[in-house]
Amino acid sequence: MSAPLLAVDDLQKTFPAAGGAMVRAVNGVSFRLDAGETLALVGESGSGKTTIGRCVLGLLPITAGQITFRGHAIRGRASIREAWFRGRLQIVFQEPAEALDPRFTIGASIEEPLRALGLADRASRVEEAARRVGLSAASLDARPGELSAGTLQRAGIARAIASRPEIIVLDEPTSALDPTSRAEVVDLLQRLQAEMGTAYLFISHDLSTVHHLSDRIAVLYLGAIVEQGRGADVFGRSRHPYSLGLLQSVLLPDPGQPRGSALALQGEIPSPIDLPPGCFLASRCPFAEPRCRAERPLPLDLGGGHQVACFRQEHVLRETAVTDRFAAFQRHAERLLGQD
Amino acid sequence: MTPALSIQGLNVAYPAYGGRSVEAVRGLDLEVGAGEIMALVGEMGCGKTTLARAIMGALKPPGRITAGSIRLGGQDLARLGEAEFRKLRGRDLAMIVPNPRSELDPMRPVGEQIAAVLRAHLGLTRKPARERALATLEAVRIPDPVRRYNAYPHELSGGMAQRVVIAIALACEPRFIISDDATSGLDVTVQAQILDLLARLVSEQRTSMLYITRDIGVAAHFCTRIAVMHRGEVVETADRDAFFSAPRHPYSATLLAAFAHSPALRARWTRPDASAEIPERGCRFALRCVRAMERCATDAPALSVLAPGHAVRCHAPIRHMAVPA
Ligand SMILES: Nc1ncnc2c1ncn2[C@@H]1O[C@H](COP(=O)(O)OP(=O)(O)OP(=O)(O)O)[C@@H](O)[C@H]1O
Ligand SMILES: Nc1ncnc2c1ncn2[C@@H]1O[C@H](COP(=O)(O)OP(=O)(O)OP(=O)(O)O)[C@@H](O)[C@H]1O
Ligand code: SF4
Ligand SMILES: [Mg+2]
Ligand SMILES: [Mg+2]
Repeated sequence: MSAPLLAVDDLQKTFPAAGGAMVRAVNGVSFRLDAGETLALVGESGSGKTTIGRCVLGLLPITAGQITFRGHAIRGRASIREAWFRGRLQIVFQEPAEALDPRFTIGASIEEPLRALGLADRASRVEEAARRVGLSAASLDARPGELSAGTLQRAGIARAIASRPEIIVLDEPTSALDPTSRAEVVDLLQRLQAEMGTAYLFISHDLSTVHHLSDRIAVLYLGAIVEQGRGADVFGRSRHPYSLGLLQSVLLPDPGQPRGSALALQGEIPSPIDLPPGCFLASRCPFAEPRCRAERPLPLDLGGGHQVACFRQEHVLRETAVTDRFAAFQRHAERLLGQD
Repeated sequence: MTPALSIQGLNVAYPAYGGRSVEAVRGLDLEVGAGEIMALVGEMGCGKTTLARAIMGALKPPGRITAGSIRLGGQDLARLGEAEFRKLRGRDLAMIVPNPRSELDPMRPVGEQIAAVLRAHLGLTRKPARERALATLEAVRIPDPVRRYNAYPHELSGGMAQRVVIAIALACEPRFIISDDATSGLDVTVQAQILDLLARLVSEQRTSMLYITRDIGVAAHFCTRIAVMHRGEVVETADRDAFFSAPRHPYSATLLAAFAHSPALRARWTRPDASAEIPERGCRFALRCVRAMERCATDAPALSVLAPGHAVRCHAPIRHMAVPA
């Protein structure tokens, strides 16, 4: 059997903190990403999404565990600089400003990583990338300050695809955009994936966009995956209290679809410096029992790649009626705005 | 019943040296009733913060009000001097902004910051101010308020710091509160808690609120009325349920369609040749509008009442099956 495109096994990442303490940002994360598919990493601020993305890109050395790309280990910058890796993994940031130097033209910024890779056919690659994302010649000659947020993000995407990568880490690529340009960027990402077969590691806390764009979803809490699976499983058959709480907190623009309060999570996320001994969610979880505070639950495979790490999942399943709210809203909107 | 806040024909401009001045708010009419939560929704740069700052008498230079009135109680805020505003702000009128940490004094315990507002505006002495500040911390559901009273801002999480900022805004039980994007930086589970809190406090204190957001989803669950703003103008305003069950302005439909991630809807409500330019004449949405007619390019539509409480600025408002045109 050939090696998977990307395999992350029991990844751990800590950062030193003041007073000799450790920020335990990623605590044993495992997932696969296959060619041409989209895996979303969702979770609240500080749950470790960006850190995982940066480890995958080789931008951060890992503390423990293993990341392999087509069987080749990724362990920080040195390994990713090997010629074999070049340009096969790329990133798109939330703020295109992070990738686009205000002093350079957009065209020069798209070309820059190709130059760093020592590629010869740069002009034609820039042209191809610009054509694929629909950037005009005038935009290529402009500087970032002259363009709208949506156009800048298309430039950021052009920069990422110019080296024809196999994986793009998309770190909140639509969070800074208005709904209409967000929808355009999402359409573009989907079209590019269909054309080029690129796999996406899609980092986001916008669950509605995740629902639309992703094949599989991993839900993170304090640097651990509490649930992962296909979209239909996580959105329609979730049995983890955190995923359910997160899904229920989303406010969709239909007052007829109230958010639930029964599963409301109390309080706030504990510090990643003092991780609780048992289940990380225990202090906020409406289903917690004494065992949850003492032992850490392991992911249980329910079939079809649906994994849930919760001692009380049978109980959660019995007590909650999960419906796919995003799909319901889509049907509602189609009824509301499809006529006239 | 007289509304708590009534804005009529408001224009706010940022004059530019040499160049064209930016009219960030244009002929804006808006009424917020007593006890109401009015959501103001619109995209980046449409003028929401400019409007909020105009109400607060705190426009960033070179912005200034060039026409119209802003009535709060018996006063026209558009004509108020800074000395009078200073008495009003914090006591009758308060604003909550995102990034709570920048609002707080990093060198002073948060409890004292609340007490200071109470002493300044209500003339309370030390002890009663402290007691009421503690009660306010409790009201915004800060666990262990006695200990948190002495905490410095950096010792609090983002959600806690936002609660303190809300506590400061609400301490004097103001008549009118503006929230400008104040919950957008919070995580959804924390945002849900803060919204519940705001709704409860608004109803207990019988205040009115202008809740500014780019997130039409939050508006649907949190407000009693909604106003949609587009390029300086209110293009639609209605009771919440009337709006969400039958939005009438094409821009409102575009916003909702973008949220639904439905390719069919997006195709229906997006113009392939849409232009970001603001036309000199006619409707300001015309170059992006799928329903635009010849007339839209020449005549600017007025905000007209289509049903009680439901007004739309459009020559071709959407008709819904259940709603007579
Ligand atoms: N360089 C660093 N040094 C110390 N701590 C760090 C560093 N980078 C991240 N962290 C910590 O690691 C944890 C995970 O952070 P990360 O940025 O990966 O979260 P995230 O899920 O991307 O959050 P957000 O949604 O806010 O972007 C946080 O507690 C963060 O404070
Ligand atoms: N101090 C200023 N000087 C000149 N122009 C300004 C100033 N502040 C705002 N503007 C312009 O006024 C318009 C409205 O800006 P405003 O900040 O009110 O929008 P907003 O709706 O609050 O946007 P956002 O959703 O991004 O907060 C914009 O075109 C902006 O460029
Ligand atoms: S293991 Fe316990 S605390 Fe953790 S999510 Fe499940 S029920 Fe809640
Ligand atoms: Mg991040
Ligand atoms: Mg603003």
